[in-house]
Amino acid sequence: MVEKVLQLENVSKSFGPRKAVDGVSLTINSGEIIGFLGVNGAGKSTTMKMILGLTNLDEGKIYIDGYDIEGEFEKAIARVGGMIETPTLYPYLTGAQNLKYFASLYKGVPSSQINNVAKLVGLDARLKDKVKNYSLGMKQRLGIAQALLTGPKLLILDEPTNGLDANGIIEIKATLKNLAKNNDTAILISSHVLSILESLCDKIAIIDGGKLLGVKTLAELRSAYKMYGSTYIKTGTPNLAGQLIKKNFKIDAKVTSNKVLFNASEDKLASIIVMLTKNKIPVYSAGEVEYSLEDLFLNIVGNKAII
Amino acid sequence: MKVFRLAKAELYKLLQRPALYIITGVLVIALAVFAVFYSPQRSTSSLSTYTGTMTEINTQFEERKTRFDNNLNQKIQEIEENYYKITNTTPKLNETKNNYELIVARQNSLNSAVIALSSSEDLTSAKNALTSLKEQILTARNSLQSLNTEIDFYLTRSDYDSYYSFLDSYYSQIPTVAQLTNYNKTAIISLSNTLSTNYNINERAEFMNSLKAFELDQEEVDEYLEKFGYSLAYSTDGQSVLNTLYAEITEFYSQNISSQEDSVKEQFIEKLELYESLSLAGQRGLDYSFTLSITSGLTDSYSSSLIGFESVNTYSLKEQVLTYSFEIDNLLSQDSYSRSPAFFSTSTSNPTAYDFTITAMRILSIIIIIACVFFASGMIAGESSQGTLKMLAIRPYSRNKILLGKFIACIEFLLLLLFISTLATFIVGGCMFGFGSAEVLLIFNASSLALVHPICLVLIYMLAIILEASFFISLSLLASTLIRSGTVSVVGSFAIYLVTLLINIFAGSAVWAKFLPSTHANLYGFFGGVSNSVSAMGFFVPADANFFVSLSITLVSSFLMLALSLVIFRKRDIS
Ligand SMILES: Nc1ncnc2c1ncn2[C@@H]1O[C@H](COP(=O)(O)OP(=O)(O)O)[C@@H](O)[C@H]1O
Ligand SMILES: [Mg+2]
Repeated sequence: MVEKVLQLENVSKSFGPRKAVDGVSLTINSGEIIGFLGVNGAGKSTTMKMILGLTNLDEGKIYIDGYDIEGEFEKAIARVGGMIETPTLYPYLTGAQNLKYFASLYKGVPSSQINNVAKLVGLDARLKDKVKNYSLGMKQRLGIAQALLTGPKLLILDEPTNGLDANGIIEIKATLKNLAKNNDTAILISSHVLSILESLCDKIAIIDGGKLLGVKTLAELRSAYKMYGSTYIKTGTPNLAGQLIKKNFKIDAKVTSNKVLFNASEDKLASIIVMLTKNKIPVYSAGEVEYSLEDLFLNIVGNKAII
Repeated sequence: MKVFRLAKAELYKLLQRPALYIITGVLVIALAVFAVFYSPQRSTSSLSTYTGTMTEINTQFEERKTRFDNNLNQKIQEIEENYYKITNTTPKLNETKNNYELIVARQNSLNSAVIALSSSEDLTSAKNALTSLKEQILTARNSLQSLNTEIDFYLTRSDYDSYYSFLDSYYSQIPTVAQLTNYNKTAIISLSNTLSTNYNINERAEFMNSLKAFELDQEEVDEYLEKFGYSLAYSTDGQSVLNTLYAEITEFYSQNISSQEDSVKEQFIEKLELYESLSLAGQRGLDYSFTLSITSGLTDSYSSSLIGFESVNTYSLKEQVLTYSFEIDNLLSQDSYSRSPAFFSTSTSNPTAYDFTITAMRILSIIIIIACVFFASGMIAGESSQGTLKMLAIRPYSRNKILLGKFIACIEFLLLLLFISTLATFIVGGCMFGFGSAEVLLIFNASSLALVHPICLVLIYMLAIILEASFFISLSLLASTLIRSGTVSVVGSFAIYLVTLLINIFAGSAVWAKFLPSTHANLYGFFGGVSNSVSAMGFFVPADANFFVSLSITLVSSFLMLALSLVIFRKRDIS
């Protein structure tokens, strides 16, 4: 059964005159992984801090499993595992001791759980080392491990892949996917890099300047972006080329610094190239657009499009 | 309870801190240094010594006895005389106040006469007013002079001097009748103006109000005269304590006059010492009781300025009066029982583990409190700077529980450290001096006393340290919630503790210090060590002190600081 594990209703937070989070509403269901995407300073951490009760809300409401984070903090937070920004652990304790300390804060977390979560994040070999000797990636793993200790219904992970190598990212992604699938854990994971969230998240929530621009699947995002055109030609004089294409073929075209974007079949593309060549406009290359994910993201944020 | 689960986790974390090695090291070194250098001073024993055969000893005593008896009798006489003097100062005091009122009245009539001059040319009434003012000032000055002999009793020397020179100078500024004949209207008006600006008698009103006679409670004076004087003093006719004891002494002497045995001599000397000790107890009891009764109802600062003592510590006097009355009631010589040990001082001939423990813990407790301050002041600010606080704040504990849990963890840490240190100190002391356990006289709050097993003192001292440390833990936690930077919080709290420590060592019983809650935080002074304390590191009580007042101040201020930290911490964003 699908339940609403996290609900944000019109949540806002200002620091002085600056609105860090501005009217954000978001729902996450059990078993769902939502990517929280935004450039640095977009308001991801602030939103997550409010979800975890670290920061007071100026406006709005946050419910975790139906409990108001402000009104029934202890009940609400008991269902959450979280990690905010760079994981801060006790450097003078070993990894195991850190986990033992966090586990001892809950009632009924068995000590076997410490090894379980360490295995999940691939840290079991280095558990006896002091955290001050850990690399950033290892701290990151430990930070994720402590969030998993209680088998929470909701996981809030703020940029958990910072400092992880490619292998590590793949491992963590697999772990999270398993949790969502097998334990029905709802996960909110933030990043400022879209590719990290790719192939992990069911949906991506894009935040910019404190405002939530939308929550879409990756496919929806791609197709929304494709409205600008999936065919391109690269040329030295894109402005002139664009005008000619619009005039002669009666289609919409978008001009970038060295490309013209439009929608056209392969046949039509061939005619356009012929037309441009006739008009003495050199075509360097042409074909289907292969948008990188980052192009996609930056374009959305750059255009502030409501997607 | 949930909050104890958090406290347990915090304590677990605290005990892994590397700084703990340093603290343990310092404690061990301090204890070792004490073990090596501990050689306490023996307090009191101002009693004479006796040597030789029984006859020689008896002769030495007979010579001294006259002096002992004279001293006590003189003291009795002195108190009686002083009592008489004081009861007679009230009329003189009233005279002074009366004279003051008369000067005010004469000055007013001079003013009216001068005002009348504006519409009249008749100078007579103004001149008469001046003359009678001058006369009144002279009367006042002379009457004040007659107070001089009793001056110590009810006004300070500087107040007296100031008022006397005021009157003297005022008097000399007013012309005599003969001189006045040369004055015309303008001269008189200008003279009267000068006088009223330079000699404003109304400014002395406050001083006049503060001037009051000591009120001696006759019953009280009779009581201590009886207790320390009449019932004790030797006289050829009466049945006093010293009379009876002297009879015993002479009898013992006549029975053992030719004895060579040391044990007999010792027994004899014991009796002689008791005689001297009781006579001393009587003298001092009278002396201190009298000082106490003339200063009763005054604050310590005011009595100091009146009596001219460097510092009248009413509390210490009371404690000693109580001790003397204990000695007289139980016929004990001052060297025959133990009193509360103080820093590097003991009243027994051989120090015991208890003396050592009390002295060593005086220093070790400072180290322990510093450790508590160090950890407590970093608990919020330090974890906040390092970012670990947010890892804790996302657990199912309200902010209140987090702060209280940390507070409890600090207290548990304190108890652990204190218990281990005291035990270690006690064992070291026991190995060095033995666990001798003669009962100790404990004087509580300068009002009641009891002979107790010395372990009681150690336990009470531990409780006092716990209270004092809790006060500083609350203070440090408050600093920790108020201040964002961990370093600033730790350094700040540490500095506050050091400053209060220095104040307590060098000015603990100064009057101004009693307004600081920290002065009241160590309550051990109320358990009998004050009058034995000879060094600056000794025990003290705040000025105008009372155990229950100090206890309330400590508890209430600790509670308020904790409550304030809770309020601040509850509303705070953790980043
Ligand atoms: N404690 C704070 N005080 C003042 N401004 C803050 C604070 N925390 C965040 N901000 C501001 O709020 C905005 C959002 O920050 P943040 O949520 O950390 O962004 P992100 O995590 O998306 O990089 C930024 O402009 C940041 O400077
Ligand atoms: Mg961030």
